[in-house]
Amino acid sequence: MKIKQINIGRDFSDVPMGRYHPGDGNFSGQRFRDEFLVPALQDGNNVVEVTIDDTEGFGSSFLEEAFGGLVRKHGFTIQDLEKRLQIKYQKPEFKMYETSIWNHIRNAKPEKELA
Amino acid sequence: MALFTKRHSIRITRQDLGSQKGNTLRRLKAKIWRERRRRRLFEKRKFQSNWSREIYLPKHMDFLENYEDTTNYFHSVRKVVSDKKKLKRLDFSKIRNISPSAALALASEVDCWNQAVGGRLRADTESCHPDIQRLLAQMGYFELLHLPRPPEPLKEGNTIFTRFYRGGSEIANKGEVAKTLRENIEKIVGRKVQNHTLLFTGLSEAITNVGQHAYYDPKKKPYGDKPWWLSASWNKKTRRLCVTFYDHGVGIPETLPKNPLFQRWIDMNRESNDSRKIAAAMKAKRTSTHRPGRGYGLQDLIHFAQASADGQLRIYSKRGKFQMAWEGGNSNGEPSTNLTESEKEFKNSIGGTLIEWSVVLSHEN
Repeated sequence: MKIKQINIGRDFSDVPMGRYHPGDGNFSGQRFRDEFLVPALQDGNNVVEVTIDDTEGFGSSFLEEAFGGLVRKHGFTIQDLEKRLQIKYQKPEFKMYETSIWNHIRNAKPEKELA
Repeated sequence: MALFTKRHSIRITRQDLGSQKGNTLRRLKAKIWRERRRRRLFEKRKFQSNWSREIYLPKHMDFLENYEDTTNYFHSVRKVVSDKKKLKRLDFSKIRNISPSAALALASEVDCWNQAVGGRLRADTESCHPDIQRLLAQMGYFELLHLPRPPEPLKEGNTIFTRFYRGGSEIANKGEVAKTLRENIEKIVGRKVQNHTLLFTGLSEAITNVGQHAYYDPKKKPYGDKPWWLSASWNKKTRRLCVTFYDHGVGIPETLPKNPLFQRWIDMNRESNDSRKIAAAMKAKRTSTHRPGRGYGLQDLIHFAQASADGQLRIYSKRGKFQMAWEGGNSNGEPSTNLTESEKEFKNSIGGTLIEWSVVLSHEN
């Protein structure tokens, strides 16, 4: 398996904020998901390492849309993401964002299923 | 001859008495009534005109101690903006005490007036108290009012303010505003802010909520650029940091999903319960969008105050106030569990939503 690394702070923005693009700005969760996470995860052989601690922090809207949206919008399964998605950080204050990311993934339901 | 009435003296001429023999008294009464009405209208118009165009700010502007009076003055500025009137004068000379939140709310009203009407404004800043003059300079009022800054450097007091920031939907990188505020707070505090990532989390959700909910009113057209305002203050003596965020939107109680039974109960009781609605919005995952994955945002506001020493979170929205205060805490990011909550209803609306984080910063890094 190949490891694909994404550093949100360096590759995307150190001030990620908001849910939708472009309504909530240029650095929203939707844009990060569509331009970074989904292309990296689409190759089934990739393990994706996402470094989160080079940023100012995150709001729930960003995290839910970026990570919960993988299950809701793009049909990734929770089991698949648990195997192939890794959240990396060194600063201890970012532990709560990792917990939040996994909560959003586990609470998300595919939208087709909901309909 | 002068006929003295209770309120006004009205001059009656010889003609009034001589030429109208039979109906003299009736005509006199009619003339007195007309004259009184004319004067009353004249006085009312004169009062309204001066009241709305020359605003004398009160001695104490503070939402905690003097809410109703303070909001009255903001409403008078907002009335000038909605009527598109020229504001002639803003008198700061009587103010002795203005809280950080009231200062931001006033800045937002003046900013709106500036954008909607604009023009030269007389503001007696020279005669105002040195503390108020310093606040006006630090928050950027002189630039806002197009006034020259005081020539002499202002002596530093106990409370230092950052300048206020205005944001809106036109800003592509809204997070940069929150980052700039954090950098400016660190300049005035002189060191890193504990739990600053949690402050960013709170601000991030406040800004996102404004963009998605605050300026949606089904009865009115959507507002232009969905403005919001942001500032911070630091008291060196008490080591208390206060961060305030304000918008002129419809308010949290209006953005909650409508529950018909709950609404009927409110109608039967005929009481405003905005504070209870704010409390409900803070505790439960409630969203007016009814979409999956939504309704987490308001709970994000809590973390910064909860993880800081003697943290307080106050939310004023429409006519309600909801406060959460955590006692103790050690600023290490460990959430305090000693929570006190309080709700309060007011007569006046705050005209949007005001969020205030107030925390004590410890000495060590």
